[in-house]
Amino acid sequence: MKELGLSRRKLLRNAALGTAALALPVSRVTPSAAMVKTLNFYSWTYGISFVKQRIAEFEKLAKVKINYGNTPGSKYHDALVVKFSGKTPLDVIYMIDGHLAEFVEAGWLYPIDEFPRVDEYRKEFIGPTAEALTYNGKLYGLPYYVGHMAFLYNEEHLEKAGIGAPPKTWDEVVQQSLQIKSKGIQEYPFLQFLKADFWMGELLFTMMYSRGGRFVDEKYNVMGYDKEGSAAAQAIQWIIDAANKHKITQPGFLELNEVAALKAFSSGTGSFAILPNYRLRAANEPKSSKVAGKVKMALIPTANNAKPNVCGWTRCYSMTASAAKDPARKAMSWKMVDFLGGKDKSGTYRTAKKWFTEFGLGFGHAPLFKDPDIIAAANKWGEAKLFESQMALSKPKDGQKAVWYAEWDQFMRPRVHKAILGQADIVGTLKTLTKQWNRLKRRYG
Amino acid sequence: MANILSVEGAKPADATGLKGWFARRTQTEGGIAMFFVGPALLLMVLLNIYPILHSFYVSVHVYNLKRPHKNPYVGFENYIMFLESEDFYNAFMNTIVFVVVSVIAVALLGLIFSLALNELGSGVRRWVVPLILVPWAVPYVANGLIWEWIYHSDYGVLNGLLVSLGVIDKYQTWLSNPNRALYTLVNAFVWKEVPLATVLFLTALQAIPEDLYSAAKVDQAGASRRFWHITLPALKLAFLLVLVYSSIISIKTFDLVYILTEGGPGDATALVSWYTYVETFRNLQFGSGASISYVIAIATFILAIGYIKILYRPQES
Repeated sequence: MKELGLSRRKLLRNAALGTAALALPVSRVTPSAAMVKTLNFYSWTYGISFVKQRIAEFEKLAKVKINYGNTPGSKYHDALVVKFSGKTPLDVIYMIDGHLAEFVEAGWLYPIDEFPRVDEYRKEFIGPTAEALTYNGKLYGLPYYVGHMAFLYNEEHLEKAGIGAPPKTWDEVVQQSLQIKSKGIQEYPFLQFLKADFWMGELLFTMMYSRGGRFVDEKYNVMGYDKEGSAAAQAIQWIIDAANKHKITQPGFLELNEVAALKAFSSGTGSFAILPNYRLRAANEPKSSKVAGKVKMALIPTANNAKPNVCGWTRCYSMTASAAKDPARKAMSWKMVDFLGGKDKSGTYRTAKKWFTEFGLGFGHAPLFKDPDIIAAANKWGEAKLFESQMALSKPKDGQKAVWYAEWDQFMRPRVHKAILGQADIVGTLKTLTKQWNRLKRRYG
Repeated sequence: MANILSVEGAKPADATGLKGWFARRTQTEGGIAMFFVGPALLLMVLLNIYPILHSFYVSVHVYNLKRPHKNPYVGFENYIMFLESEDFYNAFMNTIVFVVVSVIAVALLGLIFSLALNELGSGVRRWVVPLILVPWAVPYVANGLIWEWIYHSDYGVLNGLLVSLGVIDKYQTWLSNPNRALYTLVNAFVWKEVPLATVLFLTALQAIPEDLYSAAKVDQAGASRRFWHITLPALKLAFLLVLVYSSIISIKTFDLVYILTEGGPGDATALVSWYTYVETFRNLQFGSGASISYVIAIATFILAIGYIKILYRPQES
């Protein structure tokens, strides 16, 4: 052994380190990470008991104390801005793909490409996940969940109205809604939510995509969005007609937010709804839903012979730039990102799997589609194959990687409301939105 | 006045060093006052004046967090930009309506309730006053959430109540109707702020000497004359307080908008405070956000001075 330059003591030490590394493949303990006593983790408020359970497991594994905080999802962006600009210590956070550009440009996030196994994970990301989490060629997180807007319907209402299959086109949505309404099953069969908040963009993009429309191309040039008869114009017109002409949408839809819409749908209000796909699980949960077992998902209805595309998104676990300033904190933060967004020692995306089986949250890892537990869980409240099909047809919001996107989104909300309320002309509104987009593009471009 | 720290026979002014400097400084009343007030003043400078000055510095620079390393000095460009903005104009007009209606309603209802309470016996009043203060003690966010439940178009208590009373025949939209939304916010604001106004008026009412009313009655003055010539003049200071306080609070109302409407539907409930928030924390334009805050602060200050000029006469205090 001496000849090999390896003393017995060194061999034993290396063997011990090797064993420890094998025992903790998710953590890959580095000497510097062990020096960190506390880590600051911030998320939006969802599945808190499960999050806390995972935190406790990580604390035990990594011997670190996690300071955990959370805020409602609709206020998350603003809460993070306040915390970052106030230099509140944050190490690991939930991140929204649509806010990635501005947060990276603000210098608040740190790319994770340099860490071990990132390439392995990246190869297993499904369709849009890698692109969604990449900005300027760098990866800024591991997927927490991947979701999209989904068309849900109450099967019992359709059966009572003598409707054999859910609608495939937006015209059929109107026809079926009128049929349900005429039979007195529901006064307002299409449950619409369109409060001027975070979800408004996701909903409008879904209605536009499903009509074959686009907003901007990869170079952020507007693609006929503001033309007469564009998919965006059709989508807004459909919303107006549904409310005013056909009266199939409940009158207060401009004040209804996503959570309230889910609660209403789960209480039996509405026969059709567009909600985030993971809400299908909640709508079929007997403990919280009066219509459990009756809510099904269908591919999004279309128009103009378009593909049933929906707006999709990716949420991830990210490391902050402030965490990365200190090598020890950086190592520990990565450990946590890896623990939550990566594989465990058995090679399973444990957290992502649990999010799906327990909460219905979609995942961003291809191998999970073949996992028998996932398939079994999906078939309990829906159809696994349908989930996969709709997921494959989901697209992130056009232009969301532009650093000015969130600013434009904020500008868009009241203006589309005004168009829906009849206070502004639809095409005129779309032209104003295009003008603002181009103005911001010039300013930031 | 003698120096409180001086010792009889000593000549503090002649002493040298720190002790001497200190003794000389505390020779006068002003010096002593400064000695006691100084630390608090220093804290105030650090905690208030510095941020005010710094925010002014920010307001005359481009301070966009999406471009954190580009902060050129732009003079009053941020101010000009938002003053020319259509969105700001809309928010400004909404704010004027909100403030005027809210302040009038708070003052009038506060006065009416206080007059009614003043007629109650002191035993009853002792129980009622703490109770009516409850809405005022509710935190602003909780107040917003309460009213969200009340106004909801599908399951709101207000609709349920009005339908059961036969006032309306079907559920109405309160928050998504652009013609009503701003007034629903006013109502939520007034509900919270009237209790304090009532207590302020009530306190002033109880300070009016009973002799004045007795003398007026001897002079055969009717109830209305007694109200106009005795009660109202005696309430001037209370009015000043209520007007200044409710104006300031209404100008900076944000929580109700944040919780209930996010400025919608359309921009029907976008107040200046909301506009500032969006510009700062959603658009990350801290420079223009700071400039708007400055204008709001100055406008509020001018309004308060106006009230004081009109209502405050030192001899009446």
